[in-house]
Amino acid sequence: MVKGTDNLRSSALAEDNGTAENGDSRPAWLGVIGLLWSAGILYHFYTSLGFVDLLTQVLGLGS
Amino acid sequence: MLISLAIALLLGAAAAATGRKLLGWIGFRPDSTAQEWSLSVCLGFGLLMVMMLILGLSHLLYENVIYGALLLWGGFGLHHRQLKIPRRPVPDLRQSLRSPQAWLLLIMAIVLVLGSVRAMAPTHGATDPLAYQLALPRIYLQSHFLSFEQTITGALYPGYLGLLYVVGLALHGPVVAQLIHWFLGASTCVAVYALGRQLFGRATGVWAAVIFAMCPVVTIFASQGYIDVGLCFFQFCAFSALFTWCRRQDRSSLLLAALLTGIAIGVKHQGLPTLLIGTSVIAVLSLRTSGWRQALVATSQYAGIALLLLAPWSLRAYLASGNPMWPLLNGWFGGLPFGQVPVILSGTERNPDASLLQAFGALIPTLDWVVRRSSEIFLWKWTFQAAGAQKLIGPYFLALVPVGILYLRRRHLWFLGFCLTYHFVLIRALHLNPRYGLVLFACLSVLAGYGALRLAEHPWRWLRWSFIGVFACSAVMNGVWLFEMTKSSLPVAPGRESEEVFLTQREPNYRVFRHVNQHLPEDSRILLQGIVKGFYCERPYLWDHPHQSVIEYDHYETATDLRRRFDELGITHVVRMIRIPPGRESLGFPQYFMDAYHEEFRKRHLKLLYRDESYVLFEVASAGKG
Repeated sequence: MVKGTDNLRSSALAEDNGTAENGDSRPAWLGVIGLLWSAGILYHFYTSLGFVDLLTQVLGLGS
Repeated sequence: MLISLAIALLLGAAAAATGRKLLGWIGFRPDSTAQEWSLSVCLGFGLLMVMMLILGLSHLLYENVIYGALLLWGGFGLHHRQLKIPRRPVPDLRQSLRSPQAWLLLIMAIVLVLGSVRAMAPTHGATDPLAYQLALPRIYLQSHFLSFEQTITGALYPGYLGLLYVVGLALHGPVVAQLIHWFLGASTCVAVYALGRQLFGRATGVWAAVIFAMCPVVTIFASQGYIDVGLCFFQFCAFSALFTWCRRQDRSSLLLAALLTGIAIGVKHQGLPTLLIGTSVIAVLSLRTSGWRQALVATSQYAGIALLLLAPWSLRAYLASGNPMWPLLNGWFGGLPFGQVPVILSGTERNPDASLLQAFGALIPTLDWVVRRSSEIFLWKWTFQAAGAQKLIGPYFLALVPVGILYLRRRHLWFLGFCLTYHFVLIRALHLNPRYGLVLFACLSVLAGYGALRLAEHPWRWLRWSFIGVFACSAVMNGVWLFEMTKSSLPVAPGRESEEVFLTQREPNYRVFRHVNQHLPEDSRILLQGIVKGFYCERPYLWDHPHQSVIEYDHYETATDLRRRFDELGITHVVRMIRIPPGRESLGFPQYFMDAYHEEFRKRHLKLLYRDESYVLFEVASAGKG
C-alpha cells in the first residue's frame, strides 16, 4: 500500500470561487449563459407548478 | 414532543462523541471539523446499531438492557470528552449580514427547524413507516428479538436503521425515531458541506448544503420514519471516506471506508451499489499505483470488512427462509415462497426468473430503451413531472448542475464521472426512483453549489445580484411551501394539541386500532386486509397484501376451506379497509366488499364489532355459530 500523502488540508483552503486570483481564465460572458439557464428553469418551475398561487394564497393576496 | 427532540439531539451528540473516539482509534485524520463531525456521527450510530443487532439476535431486546447498552455506548464517548464543539470568535454582526453565506445558513436553519417540527408530530399518514419501517422495530421491541414477520414487507431485509428506531421507540416512542431520521438528514447537510468544502472551498460547501436541505424529497421524507435519508447519510459518508482513500491510499481511510460501506449496505439493499462502486474503485486504483498483489489485498480487505457487517442479516434471512436476500432473487435461491418476486434490476426485459448473470447483463441499456425512456432518465422529468413525492427533486439540480459543469476544471472531472456513474445505477438498478438513490442528489448538490457560487461571485456586479435575487425568490417560494406543509404540525409539536386528538383526525387507522387495543383480548390474532398499516395495533397481526403467501386465497375453494386456514393460523379478528383506493387495486388488492368470494366468507364467518367511515373490525365467529 502506498504511504499516505495528505495534501488535502492545503487544497481545502484554496477557495475555487471563480476569481482571477485562483487562475480562472474563463470568459465572463459564460456567466450570462449560466444566469439565463438557471433563472429560466427556476422561473418555469415556480410559475408552472402552482407556487405563485400558493404564495398569493398564504399572503392573503388572492381574490 | 420537545422531550423527544431533546432525546434525539442527545443521542446525536453521544453518537458524535463515541464516533470521534472510534475515528481516533482507526487513526483517520479528517480534513475538516465538518467531515470529522459527520463521520463521527456515522461511526457512532454504526456502533450502536451493531450493538442492537447483537441484542436482537440474542433475544435481549428488553428496554432495561437497551438502556444499559445506551449508557455504555454514549458514556464511552462522553466520558472521554470526545464531543468537539468548534469555538470561533463572535463575528461582527454587520459584516456577517453582508455575506451571502450568512443568509444561506439562515435559510438552512429555517428549513431544518420546520423539518424538526414536522418530525415532532405523531407518526401518521405515510404507508411505509406505519406498515413496516417503524412497525417492524415496534414488533421487535414487543417480542424482544428480531422475529420473522412473514407477511410484513421487508421482514428479512437488512435493517440497521430499524434498530436505531428500536432505541427511539424504547426511549420515548415513535417521534424519537422520526427525529433520529431528521437528525440524519441534518447530518447529511453537514457531510455535503464537508465534501463541497474539500473539493471547491467553504463557500461552495455552504451553497451545496443549502441546496440539499431544500431538496423536496429530502425535506418530505427526512421528517418521517422512512429510512431513505438515513441510507443517503451512511452512503454519502462511506463515499466521502472512499474519496479520501483515493487521495491518500492509506490503511486508516480504507478501514473507515469499509466499515461505513458495511453499515450502508446493512441499512437497505439499495445501498449495495456503494460496495460495488467502492470495490471497483479500490481495485482499479490500487492496480494502477501498487500492482496486482496490493490491489487484491486492499480490495479483499475492503469488501471483506463491509460484507462482514452485512453477513448477520444475510445469515438471519437464510436461516429463516433459505434465501439470504429473501424475497429478492427467490427464483435463484429458491427460498420460502413469496406472492410476487420483486424485480431488483430495471433491465431491458423485466424477468424475475433471470439468472444473476442475465440480470446484470440486462443492465446494459439498448438504444431502444434509452429512446423509449429518455423523458424519464434525465433531471428534466424529475424536476417538472415528478410522479409522487418520492421523485420530487425540486428545481436546483436542473438549474445549477449544468452551470457547475460549465465551470468545472479538469481536476474535478472525476467527480462528474462519479455522479454520472451513480446516475446510471439509479436509472438501471434502482427503479428510476430518486428516493432510492438520494446519495446521487447529495453529490449533485455539490456540483449545483459550485455552479451557484460561480454565479454569486461573478465579476459582473449586475449578474451577481441578478442571480442572488433569483435564488432569494426561489428560497421564499420554498419557505412558503414548507410552511404550508408544516402548518398542521405546529399545534401538536409543542404540545398545545394532544397526540390523541391529532391522530384521531389525521390517521384513519388509529381509531380502529384504539378499539382493538381497548376491547380485544390479549391473545387475539388479527388479519389486516387492504392498506391497513399495523403500527398502532398492539395485538399480534398478519398483513393480507397481494405479495404475502401465508393465505393464498386461490388454494381455498370454499368459505369453509378458508375458515379452516384461518383456524390453523389462529386468526380471531379481521380489520378491513372498506374501500381499496383505485390506484391500489391494480397492485392486486381485491375490493373485499364487492368480491363474491370474500362476501360469502364474511356472511358465513365474520361478525361486525366496530366500523367507522374507513375501516371495519370483524370477529371470526366461533365454529358452532358459523
